[in-house]
Amino acid sequence: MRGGLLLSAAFIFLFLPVAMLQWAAAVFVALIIICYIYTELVSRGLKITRVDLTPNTFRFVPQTIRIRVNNTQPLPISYLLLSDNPGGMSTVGECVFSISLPGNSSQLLEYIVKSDRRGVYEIGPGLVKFSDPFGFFSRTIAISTTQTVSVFPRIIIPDLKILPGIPIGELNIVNPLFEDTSRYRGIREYVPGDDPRRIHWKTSAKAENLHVMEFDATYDAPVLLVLNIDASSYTKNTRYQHFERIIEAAASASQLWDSHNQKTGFIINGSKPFILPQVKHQISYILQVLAQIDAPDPSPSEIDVLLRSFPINYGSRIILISPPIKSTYYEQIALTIPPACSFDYWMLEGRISRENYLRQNYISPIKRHRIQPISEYGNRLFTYG
Amino acid sequence: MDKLPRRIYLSIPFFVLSFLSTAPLFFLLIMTAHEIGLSYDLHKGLPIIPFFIITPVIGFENYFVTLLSKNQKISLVGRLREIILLLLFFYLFIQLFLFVESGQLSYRPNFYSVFFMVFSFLFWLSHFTVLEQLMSRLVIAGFLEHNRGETLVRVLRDVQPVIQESYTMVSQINVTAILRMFLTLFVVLIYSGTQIIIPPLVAVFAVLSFCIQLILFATSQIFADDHNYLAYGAVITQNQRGRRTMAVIAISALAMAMSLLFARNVSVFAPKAVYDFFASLFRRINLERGARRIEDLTFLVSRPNLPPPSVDSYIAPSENNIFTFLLSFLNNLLTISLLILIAYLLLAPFLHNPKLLNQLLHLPLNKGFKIFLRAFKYLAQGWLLNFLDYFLGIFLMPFKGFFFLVRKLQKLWNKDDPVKSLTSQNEFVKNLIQQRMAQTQSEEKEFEIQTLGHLFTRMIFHFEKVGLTLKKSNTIREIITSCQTLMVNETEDQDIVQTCILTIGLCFEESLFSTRLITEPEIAQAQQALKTIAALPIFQASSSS
Repeated sequence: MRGGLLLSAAFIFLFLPVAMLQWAAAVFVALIIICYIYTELVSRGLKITRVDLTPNTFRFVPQTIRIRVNNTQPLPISYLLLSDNPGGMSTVGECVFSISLPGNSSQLLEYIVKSDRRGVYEIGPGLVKFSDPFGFFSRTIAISTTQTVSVFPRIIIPDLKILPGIPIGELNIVNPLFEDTSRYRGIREYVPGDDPRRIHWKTSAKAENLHVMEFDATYDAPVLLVLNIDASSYTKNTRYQHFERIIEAAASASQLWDSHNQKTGFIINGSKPFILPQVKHQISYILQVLAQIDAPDPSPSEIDVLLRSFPINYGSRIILISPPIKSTYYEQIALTIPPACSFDYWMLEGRISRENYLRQNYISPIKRHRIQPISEYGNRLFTYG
Repeated sequence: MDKLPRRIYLSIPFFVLSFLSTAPLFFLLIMTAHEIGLSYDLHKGLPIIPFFIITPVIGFENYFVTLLSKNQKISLVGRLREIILLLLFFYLFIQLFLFVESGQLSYRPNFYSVFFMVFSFLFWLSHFTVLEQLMSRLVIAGFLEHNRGETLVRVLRDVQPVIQESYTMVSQINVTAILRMFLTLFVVLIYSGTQIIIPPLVAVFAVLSFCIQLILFATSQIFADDHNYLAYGAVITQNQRGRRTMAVIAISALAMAMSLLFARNVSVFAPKAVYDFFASLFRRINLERGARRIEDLTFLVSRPNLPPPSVDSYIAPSENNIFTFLLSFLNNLLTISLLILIAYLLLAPFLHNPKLLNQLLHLPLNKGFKIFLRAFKYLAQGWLLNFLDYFLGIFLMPFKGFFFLVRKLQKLWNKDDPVKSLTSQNEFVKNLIQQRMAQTQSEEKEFEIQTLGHLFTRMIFHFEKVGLTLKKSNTIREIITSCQTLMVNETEDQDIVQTCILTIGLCFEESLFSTRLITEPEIAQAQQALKTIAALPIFQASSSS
């Protein structure tokens, strides 16, 4: 259409000796040229950026996606369409915008996404459409930058007591055996039986009777979480739900220990095993890893082998989070636990009991071993307690 | 939306626009007719006052009938009834006018009354066409009032045929506007043939008509964009439309002001050159040349005292003979070529468009005059559009040739053009595309298959460089899997690359085998995926080597 109009207008302008006709033809040509220049300038001056590069969220928790549209040219844009691709996440409201932009201005666009599934989602690429006011030239620009949104598993903080591991740590305890001599608490009068090394001589001299120093009792409770993603452990018909529940349990346990400022180690027995040494404050990394796990692994690594090669801290609590496993395999794992460590098995309760597989009423023959059943669904992590 | 006040509020601008775009053009026509001496009486000019009176009446009548039809298109019978009543009214009105003017009452129709009625009918038809096209916007206004986002998309999907019809009608407005613009210019040209200086009133109407057609054109584009954006679920607000209208006015004003500097009453090239060109063209295909020779001979015979021809005239040099023969041969060749070209242009629409040929062959099979007429109308429309397309194509051929030459020269500089090598590969993918394109009935689907087919072949082209082999028995899924396998452990961003391959493949597969149309965001996503694949270091390395 544009070509035909230009050709006709050029013909009229060049050959017809009537001022009014020449004027009309020139208007046509000028309009097309102005519109072309406008479209080119605007498309070059339009800069679109994503504000948050890697936003994270939890399942069912809304997350705001922000896009900044910047018109760097002095020409105003009457309106343009911006459509973003939420990348499989559901949107709350619209992810399509029609906006007006004055010259040399910018606008921040926001929309909310959420997901009922854990995972890593890629937002984008988006699309911008606009045209000149006469609609001669329309442009579609793809927003090349994408944004990765990690949806972490749901966290259900378990009502669980953190048992003492070794003396001296971050958690307070009443037991004076765990006193930390670097944490001074106060001075009291001496009573028979107090350790003479604790007498505070300066205060005793002033008060003219014996006084002793008191210290805070603290303990450390390092934990090592072992997540079993062996596909054979999951029954086929409930694989997805059980796997999600196990991941939730692992995320919740990590969060619990991290909130108490404890060292948390992590092992996942995939075909490429994931091993994280026992260090503090690595919850975000653990959640990121948990968000990325797709499905149970059909060819996993052996947990006992992984545990043997792992430098477990003295007095650690080792928690195996898994659906029911074979009793022989359980004993094999239990035998690798160092003597100074306690061993918990957070077992997902299954409705189908399989032969040679552990059940909830299983009593471990080994000391300091506990089995804690995880409920299949619901807002409480454990079936009991 | 059914509330009348609301409909009136929304439709008043449509009425104003349609009336203003029609009336000045028709006033201009009347004044031209008046000027070139079209009169019903040898002693009297064409009185133009009744035309000025009747046009607003027709405008309002049209508006109220369309407004009261409540989103329903009025049937052909209804329109027929309406026009019969109107013609009766026009006749009575003009007879009354003539009676008031001359003082003689006559019921017999004369040239002026017939001309007036034909004019009024044409005005009615013209105004009604644009008004109806604009009023089709009211159909979707109801859906836009309460819905937004996904809900709106869902609602629009439910009423897709209505929206589609509305979109088609709105899109037709720009064609109408352009035709009217050219009609305005044509009328001005005729007028300038009769008068050297165009009177101010005529100039005002011409400029007004031209400007309003421009605004009509821009409005149609705004509405078409609105429809287009609605497909994404975005609703353009009144405020935003206002801004664009202001931009239209500003750009138009700028263009008009700039154009004033160039407009003169002298053509850049002499009109005689144009005349000579067309004169020589028509002289070549003049079929009455033989008759003129006979006249010449008769003229010669009628002069008996003519001196005898000299001997030299019988002895022509041999070189001249050959030269004359060659000239006449070239002349005849050119004439024959022109005739063949015209015949080809007339037949080309049928030769290149099997659907049109099919329509032509099935035309006699249509039973019933009305059905036959409708089929003929579609055939004529299709033929005319194709004919114009080919006709314009001939004029554009030199430009295309020039661009082709430039592109060829560019390729000489850049021999490693991937598109060039595409032509010799992926034969079976091409066959698949052609096969599906032949089977599909929809033009949009054809375009979609072509676009995604191109993306898919481009992707295969890249993977062939790293060892992808294809068999005729391969399905698209198998090709996708092969490409994905080739990429395992080759790049760092495994997930992204695998998703990109899958996106292109699945889009292509869906375009081939699904009746659903692939949406623009999906196509854009596939295009983006191809860009990502093409930018991979492995392909960059192989192309540089």
